[in-house]
Amino acid sequence: MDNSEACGSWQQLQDHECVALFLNGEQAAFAELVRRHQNRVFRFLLRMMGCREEALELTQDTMLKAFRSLPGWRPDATFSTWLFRIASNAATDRLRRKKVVKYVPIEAHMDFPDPAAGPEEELQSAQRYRILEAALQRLQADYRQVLLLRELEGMSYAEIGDVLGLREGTVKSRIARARQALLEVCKSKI
Amino acid sequence: MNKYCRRSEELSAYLDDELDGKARLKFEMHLGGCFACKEMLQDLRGLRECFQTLPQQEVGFDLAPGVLAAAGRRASATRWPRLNWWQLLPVSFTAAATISLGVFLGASLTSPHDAAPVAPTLAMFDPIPPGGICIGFAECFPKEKI
Repeated sequence: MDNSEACGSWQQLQDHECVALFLNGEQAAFAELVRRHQNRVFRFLLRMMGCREEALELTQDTMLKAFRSLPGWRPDATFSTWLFRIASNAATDRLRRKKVVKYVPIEAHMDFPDPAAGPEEELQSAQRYRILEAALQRLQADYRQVLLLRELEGMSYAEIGDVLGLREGTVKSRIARARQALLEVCKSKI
Repeated sequence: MNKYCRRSEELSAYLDDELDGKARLKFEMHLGGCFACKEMLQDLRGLRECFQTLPQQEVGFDLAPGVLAAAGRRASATRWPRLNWWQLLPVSFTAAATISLGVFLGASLTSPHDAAPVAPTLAMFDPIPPGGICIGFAECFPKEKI
């Protein structure tokens, strides 16, 4: 949790309790929810968009949309799942508008940094994550989405299905295909 | 991957612990004898480890005040006073009267009396100018009047 001092007593509350308080007119409860989730949403959007400024703008948009939609929200999923649903839709819309939702196989023409550039372990680790970041950016958006939600957010298949509006079976096969695509690119380089 | 096993989907779900007990057991039996799956499982574990090394970027400041301020601005920009039906009556009557007046004026301006041009008005467009010499009886007078 971020900004623990500013959160004060709100920190003790669960997400759904904060939501209930916000719906009773307590705006500080919503501020607490923003603080709790802003970094997770930001990281997801950063890796979806590949641009810090754009990710920041979309994170703000996501929170603003959540603020406006929360009064009509039915808690059929957890608050964070719902927030990721908004963020994911925002990212997909933006990518579609930019027409960068590509459905091309990833492999060739990739300009990866040389993994053998530095002898030290730290440098190697930095190189590995740069390779992975580069490979992720070249994955098609729907593959990238499921992988980020699974590997970085640790969501279950059911939760990912909730976020993306997909059946669990679809999530399962999409994750498998995304991993395979990523492995094909990264295996020799990581 | 050197070899490809068609059960890679199950392998991925196995890695994520998303197989139920029976399916998991069945897949573990397959895994024992499938070199391609074993190799791929190792690769996927390596990939997962690599995901853990990704840096945890942060926003760097509190977004909440900005979001609440923007929400407040939008709310005040789109807020309309809530009026009861009887408070809307004068506005409704005025609107109805304005529309009726417009229709009346429009209708009176485009009545058939005004629409049909009278013959003298168009006299200047006649082939023979006023006071000109008539070249023949039939050309000077419309046939029906003969």
